[in-house]
Amino acid sequence: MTYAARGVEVRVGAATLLADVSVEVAPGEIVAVAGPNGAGKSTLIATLAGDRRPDRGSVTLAGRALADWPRLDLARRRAVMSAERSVAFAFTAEEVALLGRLPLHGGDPTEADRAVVATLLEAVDCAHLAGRVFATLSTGERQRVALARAIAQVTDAPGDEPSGDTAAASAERFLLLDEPTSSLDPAHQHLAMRLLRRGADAGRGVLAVLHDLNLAAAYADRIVLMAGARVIATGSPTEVLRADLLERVFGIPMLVLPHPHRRHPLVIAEPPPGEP
Amino acid sequence: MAAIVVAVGIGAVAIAPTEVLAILAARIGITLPWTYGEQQETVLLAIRVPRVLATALVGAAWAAAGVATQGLYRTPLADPALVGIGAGAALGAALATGLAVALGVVAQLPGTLLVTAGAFLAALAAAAIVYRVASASGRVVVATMLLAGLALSAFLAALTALVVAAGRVPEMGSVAFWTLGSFSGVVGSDVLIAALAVIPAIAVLARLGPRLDALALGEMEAGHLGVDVSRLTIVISLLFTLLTAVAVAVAGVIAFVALLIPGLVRPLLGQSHRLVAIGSALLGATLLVLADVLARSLFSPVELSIGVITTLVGAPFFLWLLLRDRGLTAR
Repeated sequence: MTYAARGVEVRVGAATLLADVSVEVAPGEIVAVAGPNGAGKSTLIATLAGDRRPDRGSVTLAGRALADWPRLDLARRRAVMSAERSVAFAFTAEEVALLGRLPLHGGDPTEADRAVVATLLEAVDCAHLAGRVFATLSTGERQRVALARAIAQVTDAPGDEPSGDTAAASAERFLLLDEPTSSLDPAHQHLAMRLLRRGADAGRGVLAVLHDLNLAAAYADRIVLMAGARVIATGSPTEVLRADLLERVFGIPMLVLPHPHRRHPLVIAEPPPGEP
Repeated sequence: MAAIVVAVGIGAVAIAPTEVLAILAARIGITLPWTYGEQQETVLLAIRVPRVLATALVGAAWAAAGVATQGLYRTPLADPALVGIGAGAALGAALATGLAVALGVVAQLPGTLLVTAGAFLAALAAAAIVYRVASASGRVVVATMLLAGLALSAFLAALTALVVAAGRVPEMGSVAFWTLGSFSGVVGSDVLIAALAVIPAIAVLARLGPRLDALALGEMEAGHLGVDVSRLTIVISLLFTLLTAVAVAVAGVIAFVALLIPGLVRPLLGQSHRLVAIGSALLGATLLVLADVLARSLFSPVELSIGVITTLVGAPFFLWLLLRDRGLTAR
């Protein structure tokens, strides 16, 4: 049971945003999508989320085409954290995060919903901001609250029994994240990635667009490297983070070293030759 | 409730709150120890009670229409009376009144129904025009909506003036009635139709509150949370159009109530659209009843248009909102 795009093509006018892209994420794994600006990463997230219909190819969740999923069932199975970070009106950080529970409670959040959100706000180091108006938070703080909201959507409330009618609650669930760490300082980047790692270990399938190759190397089980609307390589960090591949994709010299005390590569982008 | 008891007593024939209670209690078979005159009883039951009930319903309707419009367009700056929907309803209501007069059903139930329907259809057309002009690739640009609404309001108000002048039927009301509003011509059927439309509409709006909360995150984000955004857009648009149409059919366009009331309620009750919808309906009813008392007692026996009062309070509030939001975006 996976979340999969197969042979997906997306065109806008004469431009091809995705060409024959196949990506798959299974429960329990973190898949990082990397690549230069304009490679099609955000389009891929939008297509996986169902915001964009592919012109060719298919997107399926648990073997069923996305369009065949009832809206609410889909919302209970996968959360999306987009790059959009504006909230109208003076909703507080807690209220924004609590909206992640909407597909689960349908309008009246329970104590269990509030407990899940409180735990997650704590986990993203935003408990002290719970009562603050979301719009007044810094970019990084807003990003952490948005992450808490996305995770809250696919988290079991304490006491949820995965049986009978709530079988959907126990079914595999997925997180699609567009640059979840782009505005975070290093400590909070690792905080966020460790939280996603714990989610994956608890059975979530995580697919995240990440610009930081070292963050991808440290936390992703697999990396999908994209360029020019295509998938260039898919594999473990060691398989994908190769200097020749990265230099071809990013167009600048890349130094790839073994990490001094971890078992994944370390990537250093070098200035292009002939320039100071 | 207290506001209503006091409000029904104020006017050319004064009725003390105790007398009001005694008259109303007598109607349901309870005798209270306060005496009242026959004239007071007649005035209260035939004129004051329908007027105050209509005012309360119209206040609730405008306030709820404001919550719906603001929630859908994700801005506290929206008011159906300012974006041409109210002016559209006025034109439709004026035309339908002419028709009702011709059919001989004016100020009766079928006539009121006809006027409300006319207001609704024209308001729907105006809403569609504003949406068409103000939306770029599916997203509504608020500034464009306000500007387009300004032009459309002026155009439709001019058309209404033309229709009223050409109609030469006193029942079609004056230009001042349609553009500034008044409750002086309220009849019993107004109260009935307004109650049947406004109360269920507010209930539906309150029910959809959590979905409007999700919409505050963005249309795409609301969709990710399982909200059918296209359907929500249609239902909410129908709601604020209906609420506006009913309000206008009863008492003309009363500007700034829809803008002001939710803006007053949010700091008190928070942002939850469900709470804001219910709170705004109650506060809108109360404040409009009080505003109507002012309108008819300030220069008694001359009655002021109620829109004069609401605009005197609401327009500065609108400017204050603009100033505040400019500060927010500059930060």
